[in-house]
Amino acid sequence: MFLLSFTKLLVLCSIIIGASPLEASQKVPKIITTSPTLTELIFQLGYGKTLVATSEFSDYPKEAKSLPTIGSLFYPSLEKIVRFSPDYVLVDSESTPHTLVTQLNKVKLASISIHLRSVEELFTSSKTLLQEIFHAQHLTILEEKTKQLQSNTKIFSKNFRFLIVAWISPLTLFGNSTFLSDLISKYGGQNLLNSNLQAAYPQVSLEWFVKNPPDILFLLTNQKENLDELQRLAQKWWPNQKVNLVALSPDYFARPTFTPLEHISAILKDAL
Amino acid sequence: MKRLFGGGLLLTVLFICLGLLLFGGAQAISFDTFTAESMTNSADHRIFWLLKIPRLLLVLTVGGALAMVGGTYQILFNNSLADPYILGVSSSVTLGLVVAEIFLGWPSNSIKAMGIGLGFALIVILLLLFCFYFHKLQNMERVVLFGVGINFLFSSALFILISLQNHTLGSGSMRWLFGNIPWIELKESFALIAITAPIGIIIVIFGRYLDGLSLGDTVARTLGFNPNHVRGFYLVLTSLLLTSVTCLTGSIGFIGLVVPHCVRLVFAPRSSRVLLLISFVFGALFLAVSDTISRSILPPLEFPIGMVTTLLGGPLFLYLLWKR
Amino acid sequence: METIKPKFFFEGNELILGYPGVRPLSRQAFSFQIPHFAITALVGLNGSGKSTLIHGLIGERVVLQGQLKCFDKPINSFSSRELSELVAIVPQETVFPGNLKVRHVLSFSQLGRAGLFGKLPVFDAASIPYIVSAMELTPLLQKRLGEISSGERQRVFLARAILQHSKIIVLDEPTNHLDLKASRAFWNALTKARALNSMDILISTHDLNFVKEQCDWVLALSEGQLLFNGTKESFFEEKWDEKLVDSP
Repeated sequence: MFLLSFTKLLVLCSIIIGASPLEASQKVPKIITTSPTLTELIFQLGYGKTLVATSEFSDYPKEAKSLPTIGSLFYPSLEKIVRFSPDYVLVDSESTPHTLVTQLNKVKLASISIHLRSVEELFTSSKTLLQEIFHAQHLTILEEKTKQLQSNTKIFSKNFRFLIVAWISPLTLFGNSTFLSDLISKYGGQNLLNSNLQAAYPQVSLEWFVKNPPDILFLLTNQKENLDELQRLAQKWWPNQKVNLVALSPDYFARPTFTPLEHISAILKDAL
Repeated sequence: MKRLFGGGLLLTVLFICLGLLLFGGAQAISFDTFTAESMTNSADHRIFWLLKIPRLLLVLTVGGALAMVGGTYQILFNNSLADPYILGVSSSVTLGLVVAEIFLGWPSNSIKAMGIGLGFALIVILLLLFCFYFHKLQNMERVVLFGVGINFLFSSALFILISLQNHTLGSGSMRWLFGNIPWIELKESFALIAITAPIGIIIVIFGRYLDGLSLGDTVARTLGFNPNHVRGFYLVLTSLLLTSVTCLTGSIGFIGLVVPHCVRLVFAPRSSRVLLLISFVFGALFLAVSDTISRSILPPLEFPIGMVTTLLGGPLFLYLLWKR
Repeated sequence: METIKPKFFFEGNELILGYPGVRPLSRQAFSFQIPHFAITALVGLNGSGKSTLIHGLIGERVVLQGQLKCFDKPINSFSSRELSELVAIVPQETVFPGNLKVRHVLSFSQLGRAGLFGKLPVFDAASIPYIVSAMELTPLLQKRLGEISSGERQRVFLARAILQHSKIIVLDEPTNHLDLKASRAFWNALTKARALNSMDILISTHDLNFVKEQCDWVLALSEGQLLFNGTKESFFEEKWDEKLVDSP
């Protein structure tokens, strides 16, 4: 009887220890993120506990809200970062100012620049983080997500042309080199913007826009007025064509993490 | 005779420019739609009336108004570096629009937001008039410095508000700094003309007042003008004009500064009326050309209009200074 | 010694000079009269109130007490139109837009009379008034104000004032910034103009030579007080020129 319980206890312990991402003997690294995107990504990879501070407005997931902040997206504070003595500072290549990296080098703090401009980069960056920063034993989480993505995209066989609107006035679109655009193209979409265009969020002329109506027009907003406004304009500009207007909530789609991957399929199923 | 020839030449150049602007330029209506037959194609026809004509009207009106106000201020304040933004009225409008968008959630192209912008502008106008008439601030230098102060204050407030916002991606904050030509309907462009034309006409009709001021306040008094009344009168008029323009497009720089100087240098107009009229025409053209260029450099990209006017106007201004 | 007719074009009664809200310039009230058809010099050290008095003549509020009258009418009772037909001024420092052409400046002289819609005179080769050619301004007509010398500019401003065809011309230290040659040219021009039009002239100046040669009447101020008001001859005979220099 005692031997059975003790064995069960041993098994339980080993499961707990084995399942724990970190080896009990290894130190928990102290991470600071400089954008809400990176904060969410770290949590999604299962290492939210390692975060000592984040950028302001890191509201996803809910647990991140309680973490101390080190400044806003474009104005992170070096003093605040140094105060936490982090092991690594994760820098968002898209938004964090380059000067921060220089400053971090000067104070001998390790900084890692994370690129999230496409779905591939999301996976490779995650892999790098898991392996080199967190020394994870296995990458099951990534493998799961990859499988999920593959099975999701398989269903969509039709090709469609799309554009994603960031702002209506001035008309700013998501370029080819953005995460969201890349994600949607995996589902058979083709961003009407020229792939030569390097800019991530180009402001385009209205005349080109009106002359090139997409099949689906995405708008990043959760305010109904904006969608209505775009609907009204779409009726004026394309009275004869059917342009599908789809709102993408910034809660889910504004950050290039695994969150958009989970929600995009449902949206596209409705739209197509 | 010489004047007729010059005028005819000017009109011809004008029409050529207008033609190019309407039918050329933006790659969407580019050279393949040049022919008459393709104009009957419904998509292009729609684009023409829905997009091009209102935009052209807007751009011509705004450019002309800015040049006219700039020219007026250069005479009123006897300052060759005066531009329409010298009194801070425009920055108050911009601040109002940003406040409406950030704190009240009203998009900046809505009438409600423009109302806020107008409210902010009225506060500044009343402050200026008050200082002007009652506080013995009738020294023009002081008024200009007051305007500079307001500009600094409101621009800082603007930057702070923009930077405090939660950025998730490249935001539209460029338009607050460089101006933006929005999409408006044909009837809205007519409404703009209906508001700005009467004010513009009054400004030109009373141009003699500006002539009276151009030799200084002392001489102005002996010519039968009260400098303070004239300034107060023009202050209100130009502020109203600026407010209606800034509500739509934000602050577009350099037109108000450079165009009147060019006109003076080239034409040496015999009176302020002529100066302001020619400035209107050239300001309108300048902005229209800048707008076309902003959309033609790297289609379908559209560069912020203020950037283009500065890039065009800056060298032009330097050239003018050098020539003097 | 010639007798001056007793009609006064400019007079002040019990004046205390000063701008509203600022300490008064004059310690005591004073009165003066300046006769018609004389070239009157207004002399005094800097700060004695010359410019203040001149600004009073053009209708600014410079008296804290007392009254300024012009042809027996108080100055503040003139309308702006009447004032433009009464006084023309060549001020001490003229602000000028450098790109304005001389002939346009001259046409501005009639702004007071033309109002908003009246016709302004045109000065081109076809119609040049005698006064313009007499003052040797014909070659300058097409030039811009920024292109001519300051001496030529002063003459242009003088011509503009004369072309206003007003009853009085006031000049506030007109040759202050001019060299000898330009000064001489200016005074010559003024003399010629005066010979053609009979208007009252009030000149504020430091140039006592000119006062001696050309003026008839002298009004001398010191620290906002009247020092002397009388004929030129009395002024120099009674050595007021020296007393002026010695005055505090």
